[in-house]
Amino acid sequence: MSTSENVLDVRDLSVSFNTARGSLRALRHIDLKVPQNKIVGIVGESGCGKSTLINSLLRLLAPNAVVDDNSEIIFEGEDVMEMGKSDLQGLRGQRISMIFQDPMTALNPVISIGAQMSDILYRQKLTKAQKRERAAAMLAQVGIPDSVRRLDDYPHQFSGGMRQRICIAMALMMNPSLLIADEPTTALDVTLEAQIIHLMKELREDFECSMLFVSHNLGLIAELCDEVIVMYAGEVVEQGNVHDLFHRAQHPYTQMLLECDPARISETRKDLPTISGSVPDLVDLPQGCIFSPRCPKRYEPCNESPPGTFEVGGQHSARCFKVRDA
Amino acid sequence: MLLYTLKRLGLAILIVCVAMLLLLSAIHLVPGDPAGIALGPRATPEMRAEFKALMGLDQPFFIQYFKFLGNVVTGDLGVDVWSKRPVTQMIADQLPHTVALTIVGLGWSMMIGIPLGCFSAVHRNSFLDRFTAVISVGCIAIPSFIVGLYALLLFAVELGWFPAIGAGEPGDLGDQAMHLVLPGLAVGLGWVGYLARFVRTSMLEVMGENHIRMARAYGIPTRRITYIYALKLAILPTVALLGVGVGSLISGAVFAEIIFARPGIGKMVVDAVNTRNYPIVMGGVLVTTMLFALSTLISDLIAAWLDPRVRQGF
Repeated sequence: MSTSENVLDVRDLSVSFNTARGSLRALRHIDLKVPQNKIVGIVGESGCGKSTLINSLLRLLAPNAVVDDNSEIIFEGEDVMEMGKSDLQGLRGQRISMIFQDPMTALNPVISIGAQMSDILYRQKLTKAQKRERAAAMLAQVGIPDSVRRLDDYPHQFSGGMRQRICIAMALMMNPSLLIADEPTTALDVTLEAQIIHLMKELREDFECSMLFVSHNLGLIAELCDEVIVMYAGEVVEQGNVHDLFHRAQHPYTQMLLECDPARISETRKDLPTISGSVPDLVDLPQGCIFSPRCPKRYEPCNESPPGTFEVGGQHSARCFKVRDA
Repeated sequence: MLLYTLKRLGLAILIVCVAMLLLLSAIHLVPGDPAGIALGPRATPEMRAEFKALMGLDQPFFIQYFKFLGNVVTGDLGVDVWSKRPVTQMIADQLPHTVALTIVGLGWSMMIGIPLGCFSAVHRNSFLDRFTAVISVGCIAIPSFIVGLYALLLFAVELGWFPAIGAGEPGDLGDQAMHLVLPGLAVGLGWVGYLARFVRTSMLEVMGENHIRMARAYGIPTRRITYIYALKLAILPTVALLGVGVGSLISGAVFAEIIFARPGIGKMVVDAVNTRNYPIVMGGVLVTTMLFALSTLISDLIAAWLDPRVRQGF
């Protein structure tokens, strides 16, 4: 175990995909830290590189992905990029585990819940009965009634909310140091969403793990997270603690994203606010700031070169020339 | 599960009844008087009438049909028009040879085809994947009698590894098994290609699913993911295909039986059609239809055993 206070420290991570049209630069110079026992939220619209980022952390990228040589992913003091096959096997599901977006498709339909849960424990020298016992205890902990009997049931015998509870139980089986939640409630209805979030909050205290919480639900991020990272088209455009980000957003993209949040709109309007334009082509990047084509506040420097990361104060920073010039 | 089995069993019986109805219609629609062909041009009208009565061809169509079905239930399939031996007895002598040949053919195609398909899916677009694609399409394209003839020439005549013709000494299981290897290959080789292509496609589809991504993220060993998590799902459409495929394996067995001079239902029915020996044709087709219905029944039950969603849906 490393002594540093960051469980995860990603430095200068760049990932591109070889496509027929050329190199698609999905992630560019990502820096992010997940401090011990904190929840870090990642917000961004579809296609901003959230999934690529998560897959990079576990080295589960598609075969046509190329990770830049300068990239470092330091997890508990070790560089994930340098890990061999057996180290990675020890990492996945054991030290870092994951909750997926859609509980309806995340479980194997022809293998019983108990067998799928016991399989995760293959690294431990336990008897079959002991593994089942652990699995049943985990199921009970996430609120599945009659957990011992239900081990022999198959995923289709559970409702969506139950399945997500099972996924959470599986994620916590090995008591990981980092839990990645990839939009864990997007596929659920609002009532279930509240239940699952409540459960996750509760379990976080029991299991003391750090969490990376990916979502495009700003309300959830505000409620659950300590720190927030805003991503746009493969870059981190702004990061800071949850209070700064929601109350003193600096990057025009973050500001517009907050305005678009339906929960914030108080009066009845005919049209919901949107961000005009669309995500840039990542094969052929604009010369200047990646957001400038859609930015209402752009001025001369924006078209010349991409902005660096400028500190707003404390841990709060944004990738925008306005911050430098303020 | 019991209700499911009963339902499938009912369907199997229905398949057999409809098939026999179609066969009897075909016998009536075939041009030429069966009695005339069987007895030759010099037969008297009295001889023909007697012959027709013997085969039951003088009665109305549906009477013939239900009489036949009624007799089937009691195990009576009539007698061979020429030798007067009971057809049931003749079939009982020949059937084990055909069943053994079909099973060996099925074994060959599954033993080669399924691993080949898995391999192609795991090493997608590699040189070996493309190579197996060519081999697979080749296997599909070559008719079973060509495979049979060349296998006979190469392995039996030139190399002498396996016996050439016949079914082996009765009672000597080892000898009989050796006599099954080449005909089985001839019957099964075409299906190697089908299975390899089919398993590859389903494997690729399953490998792209979310739960496989999840199993990877949880560090489940790759071999376990491929052969348990993915194959258990990917094999389901293949099991259904094989259930139907046994039908074409049986017809492949007819060629193999003729080339390798093996006893069997196929050879018996072909001979009987040529001499218009209808009781044998009816009996032979009935038994092969039953084999076919039975194999689809078995494949349905295997699918239900593998997939809890099918099992509990009934």
